[in-house]
Amino acid sequence: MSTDIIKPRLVTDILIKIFKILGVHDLLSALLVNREWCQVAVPIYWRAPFSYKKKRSMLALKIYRLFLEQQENDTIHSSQTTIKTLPTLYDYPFFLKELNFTNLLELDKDITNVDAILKMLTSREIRLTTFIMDNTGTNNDKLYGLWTKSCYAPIISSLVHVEIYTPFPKNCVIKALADNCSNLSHLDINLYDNHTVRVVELINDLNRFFSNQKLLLNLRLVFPKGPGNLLIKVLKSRLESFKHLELAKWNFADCDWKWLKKCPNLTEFAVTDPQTQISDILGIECELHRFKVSKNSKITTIHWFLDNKNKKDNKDNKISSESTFYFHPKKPPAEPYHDETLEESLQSLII
Amino acid sequence: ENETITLRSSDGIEFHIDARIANRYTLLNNWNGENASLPNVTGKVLEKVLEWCEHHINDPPLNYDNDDSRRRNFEIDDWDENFINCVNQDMLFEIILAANYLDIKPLLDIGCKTVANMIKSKSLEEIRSTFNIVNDFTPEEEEAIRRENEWADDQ
Repeated sequence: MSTDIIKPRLVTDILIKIFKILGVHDLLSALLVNREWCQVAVPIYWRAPFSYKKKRSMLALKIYRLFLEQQENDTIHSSQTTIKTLPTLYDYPFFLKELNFTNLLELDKDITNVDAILKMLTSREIRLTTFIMDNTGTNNDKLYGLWTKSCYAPIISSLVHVEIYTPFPKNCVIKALADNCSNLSHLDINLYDNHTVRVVELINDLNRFFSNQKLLLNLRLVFPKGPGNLLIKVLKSRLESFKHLELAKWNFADCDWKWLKKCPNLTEFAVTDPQTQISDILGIECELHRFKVSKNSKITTIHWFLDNKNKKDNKDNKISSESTFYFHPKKPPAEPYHDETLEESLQSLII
Repeated sequence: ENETITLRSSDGIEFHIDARIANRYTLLNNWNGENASLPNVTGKVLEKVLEWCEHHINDPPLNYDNDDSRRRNFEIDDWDENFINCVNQDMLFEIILAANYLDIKPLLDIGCKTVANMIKSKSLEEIRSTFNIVNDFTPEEEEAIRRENEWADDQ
């Protein structure tokens, strides 16, 4: 009988996999265990420091400020050749992958600071994968810089997952996404705008955006009284691009839905107040979902789940009976917004 | 129908397995044959890994490219839980390493999830003693790491 003297050790790749399952509080414990675990845990711990409650974001921002101060000092002493030393043990801002921009704007009312943070991210060649703006923030017209200044384009060029619910005209956002992104797979956005010219621009850029994407799209577009006929014209020209499609609050009067039959990759379609033609095409089997927008208002969407030929290899018929609404998961994820799978799929694309 | 292939562990133990297993986890096919042997997996570990594979031989194929998989269920089912709880920590680590090496993703997931559960809700000292890890930070380093990473230190 031989006995193993050497104890098996979990290699870095596996530690990464394990740490990615942990919530951020447990991850902090792992990070303090020893040097090896620290090295592996720090990048995961700092990938989304602004996606949690305010108190946490504030403390994380305090650490970011140390780097901002250093950046300022560097520009003052730029004539001298200085060796850059970090103000901390690790270059924490370097690990940012997911930005909750609403949180950051709320925390840092002084917009010059947000600009300084974006500059710092640019200089570190940060490539975000996830971008969130929820509906909690105040409308701040200074928030356009990220979308309109070309110096920030690289930061958003790798985005995979975008959620924007803050009410402001989105034409600059869609234009920036169309110009810079090709790996987006999840776009959940409120496009409301009452300016007709901007809306036409927006729809045109939406078309350009669709044609530039390499992955199948999961799309939720909300636009109260939006021009449904214009949108459908664009969707019709990209039939193969959509996987989950949810269209809320648009004005779809007199629209034709025959194109729905011809989307080879569509697995879920949802719409508010569907016309009878849609159930003629997709069948009467559908499900209803109430999405609570605020205390007094709800959006009710009707969902159809499609069995696509492409999914034939999936023998598990349960999928449609236990239907989950893609954009309205039953259980909110324990760690909001984290989406490692998408990140992995992006990485595999790059490799 | 009952085609078999032969796998040989690093310590020379031969296993005759249903060819369907090797077809599910394509890497296993690399070691089919009389003379080939898996360089990094001992017989003891390979036996456990193959026990798991045999139980899961009729599972629906997993599609890891599916972008819906963010809703992938991370719960471990009863059989798997029993399987993984019956091994000691060294064997658990060995199974994880083997699953990683042989590219058996679902087993790797179960192993990683199990280790993650061993970390969850434990204090720092409990984690160190569970995994038998020595703290190699200097007191200054540990203090700095704590200070710089305090942002999630609530609850």
